[in-house]
Order: sequence, then C-alpha cells, then structure tokens
Amino acid sequence: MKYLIIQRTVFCLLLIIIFSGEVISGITADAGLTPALDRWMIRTQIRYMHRDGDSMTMPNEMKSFMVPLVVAYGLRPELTIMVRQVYIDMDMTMMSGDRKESGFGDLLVMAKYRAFRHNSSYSTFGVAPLLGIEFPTGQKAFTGNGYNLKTGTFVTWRKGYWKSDVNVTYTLNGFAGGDDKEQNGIFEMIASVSRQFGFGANARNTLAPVVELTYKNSTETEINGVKNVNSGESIIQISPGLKFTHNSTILEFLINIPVWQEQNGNQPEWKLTGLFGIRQML
Amino acid sequence: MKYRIVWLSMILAMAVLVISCSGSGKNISLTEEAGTELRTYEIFGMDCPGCHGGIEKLINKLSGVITSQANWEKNRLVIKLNEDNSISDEDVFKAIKDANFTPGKRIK
Repeated sequence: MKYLIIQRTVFCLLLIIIFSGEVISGITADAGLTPALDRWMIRTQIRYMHRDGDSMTMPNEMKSFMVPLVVAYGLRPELTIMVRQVYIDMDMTMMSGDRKESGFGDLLVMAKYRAFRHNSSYSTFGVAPLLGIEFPTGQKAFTGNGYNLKTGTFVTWRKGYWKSDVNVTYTLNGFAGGDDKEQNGIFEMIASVSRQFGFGANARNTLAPVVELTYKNSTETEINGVKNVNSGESIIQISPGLKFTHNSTILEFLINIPVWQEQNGNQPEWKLTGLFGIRQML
Repeated sequence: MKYRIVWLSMILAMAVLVISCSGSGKNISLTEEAGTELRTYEIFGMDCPGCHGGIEKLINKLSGVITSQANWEKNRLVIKLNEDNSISDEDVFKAIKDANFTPGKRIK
C-alpha cells in the first residue's frame, strides 16, 4: 500500500514537472517579432513525447500526446497578448500496471512586448520580452496547484532568406498559491536557424528547413519545503524540422532528438519526441 | 483517444489549407482600371508570405482602398484605390508602421 502511494505521488509529480515547463514552443522562428496591430493568430500542435527508464520506483515508460491551442492578438503594434490551453493524453507503464490520464492542463496568459525592432532593405532585427502567468485550472494530474510565472526574451535576426532566433525563458513554478503548490524553476534556451525557399505567384509560398538547439534545466521540485529527490534534470536536444507557409497558413513539423541529458534520482530518460503544428493568421 | 486527436488535427489542418488555398484571388496581380488608382510603396521588414496578411488587413481598412497586395521578396506594397480617395501617403505609412514594418519611398 505504501509502495502504491509513493508510486502515485511520484507519478503526479512527474506529470507536473513534464508539463509545467512546456511553453508554446515549436518552431521558434520570428518569436522576437510582434505581429501587426489587430492581427489574430491561432496555433495548434500535436506533440508526441516519450520517456523511458528501468527504475523500480518510477514509471518505466511514458508516452503522451499534447495538443496546445494558442490564440494570440496584436492589441497594439508593440504588444501581443496570448492565451494557451493544453489538452494532454498520456499512457504510463508502471510496476503496478498501466495507467492512463487525460485532461486539460493549466491555462496560460502571456504578453509579449516589442522592445526593439529595426527593419532595413536587407535585414530585420527584433527583441521582444515576454511575461506570463499560468493559472492552476488544469486537471489534478496536470496542475501544480500554484501560479507559475513565465518570463523570457526572444531575439530574432533575419537576413535575406536566412532567419535566426534565440529564445530564453525562465519559469518559476508555484510562485504563488496554496500550501500544497509545487515549486521549482525551469530555464530554457532555444537557438534556431532556418533558410526559406520561396515559390509560387507573388511569393505566396515558402518552404523552410529549420534546425533548433534546445537546452533545458529544471531544478528539484519542492512541496511545503520538502524536496523531491526524483526531480530536476538537464537536457540538450537537436531538432530538425520543416516549415511550410502558404499565405497566412503555416504548417510545421519538428523532431526533437535528445543528445545529452542528466536526471536527478530515478527518472525515465527522454526519447525521441516530435510535433506537427498548424498556424493560421487572420 | 490518441488516434482521435491525430485524426481531428489532420482534418483541421486540411480544412485550413483548403480554405487558405481557395483564396486564389490573392495571386492575381493588381491592374489599374477606369475610376481606380494604383500606388506602389517600398516596405521593409517582411520576411515570409505570412507577413502579407498583416499589412494588407490594415491597408484594406482605409476608406477608399479597393484591395492591396504585398510582396515580401520584392519589398513592395501595391494598393488599388478608388480614384476619388482621400488617402495620403502618411496614412499608408502609418498603417505600415502599425504592422511593425518600415515604410520606404513611394515608387509610383
């Protein structure tokens, strides 16, 4: 019985650790540029995630699908507001048997501000900081019971057909909330390079191969001052992908390949993950 | 459940693509006709077809504009207006700035 309680607690913590750090990242091109005034952007993805391990106390294998839906609006030329809701469907194989969980994650509300932008005939450079709050509205398995603060800065540089982005975010989970809130910090840095190939009448279509390099570090999770030794990790991923743009519609496909990772305690390792996404701008 | 999510997303993606592709009128070059005026501006900061919609939406809101067409590769914005419009270059430049781009000179 005690073993089962420990396993369930670990299971819930692991879900929260995995999903609390997820932002709207996908293909990160142009994140440093705010959209036009009065422009809507609707973005959804299917993300496949896979973790595998051989621990006795932790789940052996976790496979999940996440479907985030993001709605963004250009409130002012320099200010974009965004709302994100995630749906998660997860299968876990544990020593005590298989387990399934599905439901909504926490609601994230963000604002991105155009701090700097310079356009010239041959290049564009933009810097946009981000501030967001995640509300503990998600289903029990997918919420940390606290409010999470998300901060970051996105930098975009474009020259001709080449684009380069560097995005740095820090998420402080459980900065406010009840006594049983989960607390930890997640640092993430993504650097991406892509090259566009235009085709079709009036340059209405582009195909862009993309490659991203991601570094992510999560600190140990803490509840009521008690640290969970089976939490906290660092990972580096290389992610090749493809982006197709037709008018105001963007399709994106990306595979995340873990090249280095280090987990505290007993945690399953990250395996190949990937996403397929669609973005429509109105 | 997973299969349902995958299929629903695929259907959504296809629907969006079909809808966006059906706007074939966008691919027709603008031509000057009787009672209309055609203007061309330089515009900087666009980098993909997705940028077109942002500026075209703001320009098309201006009273007197019939339609507009941007081209990110050529750094151009072509606007088709009614001949009796009262739109100044400054109005166009403001719309370009609101779209987070930088106006260049009026070419035509």
